[in-house]
Amino acid sequence: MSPWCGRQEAMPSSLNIPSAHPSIMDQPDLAARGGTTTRREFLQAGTLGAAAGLSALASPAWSAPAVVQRRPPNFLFLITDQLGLDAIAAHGSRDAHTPHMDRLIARGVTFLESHSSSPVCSPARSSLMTGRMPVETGVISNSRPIHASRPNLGQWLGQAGYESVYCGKWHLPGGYPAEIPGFRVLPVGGGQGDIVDAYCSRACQAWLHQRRQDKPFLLVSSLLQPHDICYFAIQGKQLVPPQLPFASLAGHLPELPPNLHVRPAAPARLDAIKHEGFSDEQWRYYLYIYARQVEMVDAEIGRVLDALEDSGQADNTVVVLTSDHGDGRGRHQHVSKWYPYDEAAKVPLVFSAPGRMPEGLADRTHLVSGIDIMPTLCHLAGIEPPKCSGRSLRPLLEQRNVTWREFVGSEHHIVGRMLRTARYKYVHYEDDPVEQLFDMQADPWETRNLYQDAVYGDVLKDHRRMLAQWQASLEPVEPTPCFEGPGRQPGQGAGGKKA
Amino acid sequence: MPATALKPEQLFTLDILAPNLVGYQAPQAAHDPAGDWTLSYRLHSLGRVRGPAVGGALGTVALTRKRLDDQRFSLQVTCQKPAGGKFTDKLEARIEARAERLPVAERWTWKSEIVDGDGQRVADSGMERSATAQPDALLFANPPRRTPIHGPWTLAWLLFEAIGRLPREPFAPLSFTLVDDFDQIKPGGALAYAQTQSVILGDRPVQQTRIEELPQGRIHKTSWEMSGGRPVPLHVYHQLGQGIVPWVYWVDDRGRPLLIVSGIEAYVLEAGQK
Repeated sequence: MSPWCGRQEAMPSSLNIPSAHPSIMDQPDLAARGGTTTRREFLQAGTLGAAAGLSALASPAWSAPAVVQRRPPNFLFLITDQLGLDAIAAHGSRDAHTPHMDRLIARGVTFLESHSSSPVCSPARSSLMTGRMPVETGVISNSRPIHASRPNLGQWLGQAGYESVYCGKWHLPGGYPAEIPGFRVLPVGGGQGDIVDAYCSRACQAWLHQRRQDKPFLLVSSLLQPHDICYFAIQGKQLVPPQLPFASLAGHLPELPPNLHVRPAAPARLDAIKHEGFSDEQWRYYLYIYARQVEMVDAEIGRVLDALEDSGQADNTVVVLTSDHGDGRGRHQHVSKWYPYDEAAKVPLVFSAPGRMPEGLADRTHLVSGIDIMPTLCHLAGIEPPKCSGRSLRPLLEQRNVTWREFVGSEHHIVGRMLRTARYKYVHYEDDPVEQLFDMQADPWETRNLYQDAVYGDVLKDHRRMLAQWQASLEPVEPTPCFEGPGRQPGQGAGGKKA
Repeated sequence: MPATALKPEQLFTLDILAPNLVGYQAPQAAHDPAGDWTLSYRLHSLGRVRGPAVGGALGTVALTRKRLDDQRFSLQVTCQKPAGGKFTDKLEARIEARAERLPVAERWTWKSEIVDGDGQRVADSGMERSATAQPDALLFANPPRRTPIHGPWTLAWLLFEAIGRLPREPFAPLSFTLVDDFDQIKPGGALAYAQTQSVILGDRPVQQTRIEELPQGRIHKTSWEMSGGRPVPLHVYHQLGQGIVPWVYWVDDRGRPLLIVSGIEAYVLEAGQK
C-alpha cells in the first residue's frame, strides 16, 4: 500500500476538506447499531419525505421506495471487472499508471478494506445491484438473473424519480442485454474489453453530453477491463509464450508477488485451483499484460469522468467506482477469481463528490462490501432503501464516529464462506473439514493457515460463531436458473433442462 | 498443425488467429502505401472461455487513405460492430495528417452512435467531436477541452497507415505518446521492426488416410492436416506502451498490413482490396 493510506488519513494530493458537508442530506446514521438497514429503521430516522409528484410504477414483488425532500444528487456508478484493489497506482501499484482513477481517489473517499460479496462476476454484480448477498439474490454462480423479489438499483431509484441508465456489462444473466429491468439501456456489446469498453465509454460520453432531462440520474458505466486477462490464462500458450517475444521488455516486467508459490492448507475446492505451466518470466509477462489492461480501463474511466465534467453536471453528481472482484495475479499461484484470498476478494470502492464529500481520504479501518453501495446511494438520495444486508456508508463518508460492523462476509464456490474481521480472515466450506484462518496483520500475503494452531483456538471459535450468526441473519432465496452455455434458452440450465 | 506453421526461431506466432485464417487468401493487387487506397478488415475477438476460437467476424473496419498533397493525407475510418440484438455500434472518423514516418495528426473529427435495426440512432447515444493539434495541446470541440501533450505523439489509427511505409528492416524504434481512440492520452509508446517471417497462408484442413498393415489385418487411419497453403514473407512490427496490450503488425511485401493482432483483438485484411 502507498504510504498515505492510513486510517482516515489525508492523502498528499488532497484538496481542502470541508468541515461540514451541507449538501449531503442531514440524516441520522442508520448503521450505528450494526445489522441491516430496514424500512423501519429508515422510517425512524425520519427520512421519509413526501412522495408528491413521483408516481410509483407497478412492481411485482416489492413495494416502491418512499422519497425525498429536495433535489437529490446524480450518481455515476463506474463498475470495472477483475480490478483488484491494489492494482491502482494510488492504491500502491507500481506497475500500472492510472491517472484517472488516481484523480478520483484523490478527490474522494477510498475504502481500503473493501470486499467483494462473492469474487465472481454475476454473484458480485447481483450484490452491487441489490444490497444483498448472492445467496439472497438467487445468483449463487454466474449467468443467473436476480430473484424477482429483489429490486435492483435502477428499479428502486427509478421509482423514486431517477432516470436510470445502464451501459456495459450486466451478466445477470445476459452479458450485454438490450433490456434490463428498471434501466434504460445504451446497448453496446460484442467482443471483449479491448473492443467493447471504448464503445461503452463513448456511449456514456454521448449520453452525458446530450441528455436534457431535469430528473436526477443514475448512470451505470460498466466496463469490462481488465477482465480480458482471463484469456491470457485460459489461452496461455498462445498469449503468454514461453519465450518473451518483446526483447525491450526484458528487465522491465513487474516483480513477482512474494506468495507466488505459497499454497496454504485449504478446502479441497479451493486447493484445486492452481495455475500451472508458467515460468517466472511468463508470470511476469502476465502481470505486465494485466497492468496494461488496468490502464486501458483507466483511460475509459477518464473519458467518462471528463464527459461528466464537460456536461456541467459534476457538481451535483456522486461518482462511485468499484469492481466485481480482483484477479489472482500469481498470488498463491492463482489467476482469475472465485477464491477468498485478497487478490480476488478485495476490490476498490471509491466515492467522490468534491464539495459534497471529503476529499483525499483513505479509510483502511472499516470493513465494507459491495452490498453497501445500494443503501449508500439510497441514503445519499434521501430515499428509503429496500430491506437489504448492506449498510449505508454515509456516516463513514462524513467521518462520523459510528459503531461499525465487526466483520464482512463473502461467498465462494457456492458452499464456501469467508469472514473478514479487523485482524483475521476465516474461511469455511460446508462440505470440507479443512478451514482457514489468517492473521491479516501479521501475514497480509496469507501464507500461514493458523486453523490447526492451538494458540488460535479461541479466535477460531469466535469466528465460527460469527459465521453462524451471520448466516442466520441472511434471507436466502431459491437460486435462480442458470443460463450459462451456448445454445441454451432462458429458463434452461445445463444440458438444456430446467435448472 | 496450426494454419501458420513457423520455424522455432521465429518469435511471433499467429496460432491464436489460425482458426480465423483457414483458407485465407491475401490480396494480390498492387499497393502503394503512400498512395490512395482502401483496406477493409474483419474484426475478430479471439478470447474464448471454452473450446476453440471460431472463425466468425465480430465487426468490420474500413480505412481509406487519400493524398491531399505531397506531404499530407487524409484517413477515413469506418467501424461497425453488432451491439447485441438489433443494435449496431458505429464509428466514423476522418483524420488529416502529415505523412512523416510517425504520422503527425493535424485535425480530426469522429462520430459515434448506436443505431437500431431500422438504422435510427438510439436517443442520446451519438455524438460528433473534432480536435485540432496545437504545439503543446490538443484542442477538442463539442464539448471544448484542452488536453496538454508533449513530445512526439500520434493517433492510434494512423499507425495502421504508417506501418506500411516503414522500413522492412531494423530502424531506431519510434517513441511517442499514443492518442488512442481519438482522445485518450497513453504515454510511453514505442513502435519497432521485429523481424521478417515466412508464414503459411491459405491452407485448409484436408483429411488424410493412412493404411497401416498389422499382423491382424489392415487398418485405415484418418487425420486432418493443413494443406494447400503457400509461404508468404511477412514483416513483423510491434508496438508497446502504456494502456495497450502489445500490438503486432504483419505487413506484406507491398506494404499492406495483412494481419494486426493485440492480445485477443485482431484485424484480418479482406482480399480484393482497391
